Amino acid sequence: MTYNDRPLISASTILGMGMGGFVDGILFHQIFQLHNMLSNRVPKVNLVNMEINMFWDGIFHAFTWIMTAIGLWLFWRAMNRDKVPKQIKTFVGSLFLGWGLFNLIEGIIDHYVIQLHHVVENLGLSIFDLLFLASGVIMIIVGQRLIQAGRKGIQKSII
Amino acid sequence: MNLISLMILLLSPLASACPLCHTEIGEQVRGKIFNSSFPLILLETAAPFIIFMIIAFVLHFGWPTKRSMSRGAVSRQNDV
Repeated sequence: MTYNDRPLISASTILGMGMGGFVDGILFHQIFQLHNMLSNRVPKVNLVNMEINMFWDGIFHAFTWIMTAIGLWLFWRAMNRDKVPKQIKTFVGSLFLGWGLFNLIEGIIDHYVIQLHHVVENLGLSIFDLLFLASGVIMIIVGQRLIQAGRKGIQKSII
Repeated sequence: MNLISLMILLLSPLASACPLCHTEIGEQVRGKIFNSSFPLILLETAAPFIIFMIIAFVLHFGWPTKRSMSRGAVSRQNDV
């Protein structure tokens, strides 16, 4: 019998990207209010600018919700396939991979290339933006290791 | 000084604002969101998500040149 862990990896990675996006949005945009979506271009100095940032935060959350919904749908499909192994390490590893990819790609594009915002807006481009990217790289490595461990687990279980 | 600040705060009119509000500030908010730069900012906000979807596609189907999914497959000789 042939096993295929790709559907589980892709579904869980998208879920991880979505959840990583929600961590960013909820923790940094809303609870700590360190930055908002356009806070580098539209500084939060008055009510109008705050409303504009709030609107674009909402658009960001909408995209994040769509990612999570797609991830859930793919995960449901994957779990109903006989050839997809139900391996917890693959699942958790892919979640980490997705979250790491979110931090890395969103960090490069939004913080460095387009510069819509920075992690701590009051500081501008700072060490915290670099730490955000580093956290992404670390989570990608952890995720990759867990996915590899999951594949070894699958191989052991079928030998 | 604090008393003066409190008086100013209490006497200042309440500001009501949202992208759909029919108030002066609401009009300003709407004007600064739905203008000629809206499509560009929407594209910029969506940019990381477009890349995420491309990555997810590649993870699921493999590179377009080799869609065999063979790398993700682990097989064994005997049936389970």
